[in-house]
Amino acid sequence: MSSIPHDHAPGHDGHHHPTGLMRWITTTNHKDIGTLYLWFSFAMFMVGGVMALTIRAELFQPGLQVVDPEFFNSMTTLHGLIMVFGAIMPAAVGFANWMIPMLIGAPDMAFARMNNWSFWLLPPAAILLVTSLFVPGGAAAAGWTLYPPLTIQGGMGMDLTIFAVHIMGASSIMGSINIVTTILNLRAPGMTLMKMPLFCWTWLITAYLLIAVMPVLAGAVTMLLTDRHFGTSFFNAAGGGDPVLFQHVFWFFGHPEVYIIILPAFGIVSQIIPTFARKPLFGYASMVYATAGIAILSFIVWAHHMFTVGMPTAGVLFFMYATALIAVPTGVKIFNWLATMWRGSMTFEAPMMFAVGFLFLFTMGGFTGLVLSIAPIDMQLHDTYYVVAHFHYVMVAGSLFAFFGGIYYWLPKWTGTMYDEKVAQLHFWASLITFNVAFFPQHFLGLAGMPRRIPDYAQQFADWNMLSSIGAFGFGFSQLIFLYAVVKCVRGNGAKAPARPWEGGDTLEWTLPSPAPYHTFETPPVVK
Amino acid sequence: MAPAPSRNDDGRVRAANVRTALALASIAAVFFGGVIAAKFMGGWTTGMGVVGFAVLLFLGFAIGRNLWRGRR
Repeated sequence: MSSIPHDHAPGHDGHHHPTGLMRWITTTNHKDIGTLYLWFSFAMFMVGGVMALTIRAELFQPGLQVVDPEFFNSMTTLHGLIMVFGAIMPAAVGFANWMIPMLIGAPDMAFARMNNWSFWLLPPAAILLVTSLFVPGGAAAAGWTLYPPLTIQGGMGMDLTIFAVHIMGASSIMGSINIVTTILNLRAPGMTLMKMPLFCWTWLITAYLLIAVMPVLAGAVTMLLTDRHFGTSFFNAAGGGDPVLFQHVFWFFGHPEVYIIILPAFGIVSQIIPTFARKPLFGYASMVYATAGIAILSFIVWAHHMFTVGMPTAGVLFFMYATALIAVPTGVKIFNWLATMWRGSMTFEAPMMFAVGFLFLFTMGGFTGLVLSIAPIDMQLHDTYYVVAHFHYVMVAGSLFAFFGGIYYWLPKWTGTMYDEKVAQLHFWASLITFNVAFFPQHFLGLAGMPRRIPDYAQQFADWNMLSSIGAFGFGFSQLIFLYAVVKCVRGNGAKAPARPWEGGDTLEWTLPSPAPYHTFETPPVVK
Repeated sequence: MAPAPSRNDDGRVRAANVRTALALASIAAVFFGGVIAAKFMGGWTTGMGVVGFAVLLFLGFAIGRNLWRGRR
C-alpha cells in the first residue's frame, strides 16, 4: 500500500516542518489549519461578543445611555456579520479540517495549498469589517441583511463590508471545494459513503450548499457595489431598480445559510451521542436522507423571511407549507438522537452535556421557528424580539453548544491531554443558565411587541430587558471559563489522554495515538 | 471492499481531484453569473434560462465524456 496522493507543499511529507510564526503562515497541514480556524473563530467570537454586550448594555434600561443610535445600528450589523461569517462558519470549517481527513482515513485535505489560502483570506476580511468602524461615516448600519436602499446610501464603511463579504465568500467556496473533493476522492479503502461517520455526511452536504449559495450572495453584494459606484440601478428605485429583489436574492442565500451553520453541528452531535450512549447511531441511513432533505428544502423556503413585504397569497401559502415541511426531516433527526440514547449506558461527561443541552435548546428554537413559519403569526411577530430569541436559540444554543461539545470531545485527541472535567461542567452549567436568562425573556418581549434593532424602548419592556442584559453579560463571562479549560488543556496541564479516551468511540480517529501525530494515515487504513 | 490505491493511482487520483474541483467551481460560477445576468437582462425567466442552460451543459459534458471514454 502507498500513500493516497494529495496536493502538498515541498517538504510537507518530511517530518521536519517550520517552527514559530512561519509554521502557521506557510502550513499546509490540515491539523494546523484546523487549529488556525478554531482560534480565529474564537477571537471573532470574542469581538462579536463585545459588540453584543454593547448592545445589551444600551438596552439594560430604557432611554439612551451608552451609545448613540447610529453606533448602535453599526453594532447590530457588525455583530451579526462577525458572528455568522467570522465565528460560526470558520469554527465549523476548523472542525472539518481537523476531523474529516482523520474520520475518513485520508492523509490530508485534497488541496493543501488552497486550504492554507482559504484560511489566510479570513483575517484580512475580518480586519476590513472591524476597521470599517473607524472610517468616515462609520461602519455599515443597515443590519447584517444589508438591505437597500440604506446600503446604497451608506458611507465608505459599506464598501469595506461588501469587500469583506466577497473575501469571506471566496474563502468559504474554496474551503467547500476542498472538503467535497477530499470526501469524494480520498476516502480510505472500504470506507464507502454509507460507512462514513455522520459528521462527514453533514459536511459534504453543507459544502454543496455553500458552493450553491455563497456565489448568490457575492452576486447580490456585487450588484450593490455597482449601484453605489458605477451608476447601475439593480436595487435603486430612483433608477428603476427594485429593492425588494435584493431581499429575494439575499434570502435565497440567507436561508440555506442557516442550515450551513446548523448541519455541521448536527454532525458533531451525531458523533457525540452514540459515543456516550455506547450504542450505534439509530437510523444512520435516515439521518443521511434527512440531512439531504433539509438541504434541498432550504432552497425553496426563502420568502418566509419576507411575508410582511407582500406577495401573492399562493406564494405565502407555498412558502408557509414548505417551511413547515422542514420540521419533518428535522424531527427525524431529533427522534433518532433520542432513540440512540434510549436504553443506552449513558454517561454525562462535558461533550454529552453539551449535546443534550443542544437537543433541548435547539428543539425549542425549532419550535419557535415553526411558530414563525405560520404567515398570519409572522405578520405580528416580524422584526420583534421573538425573532431575535428564535434565531439565537438556533445559532447559539444550536451551533455553539454543539461546537463546545465537539471541542471537549476531540480536545484529548488534539492535545494529548484530558480537559478538566469540573471546569468543563462549570462552563456547561454557566452557559446553559445564563443563555436562557439572556434569551428566554426575549420571547416575552417580542410577543409584547418590542421591535428589534432599536436602541430605546417603551417603559413596559424594562424588566425583561434588564434580565436579558444580565444573562447576556453572564453568558459572555462564562466563555472565559471555556478559554481557561482549553488553554489549560493545550498547555498540557491535565491527565495524559489515551488513544481512545471515550469507551464508546469507534471511529477512525480513535485508532491514532493522542495527540494525533503531525502526519496521519499516510498509509491508508483498511475499513471493514 | 475497494482495493488499496497503488502508486500507479497517484496521477489518476490527482486528476480526479482537479476534475471534481473544476466541476464544483463551475457550479459556483454559474450561480454567481446567473444571479447577475438574471437581474441585468431582466426577470426570472432569464434566471431560469441561465440555470437550465447550465444544467444541460453539465449533462451534455458528462454524457459526452462518458461516451468518449467508452469508445476508448
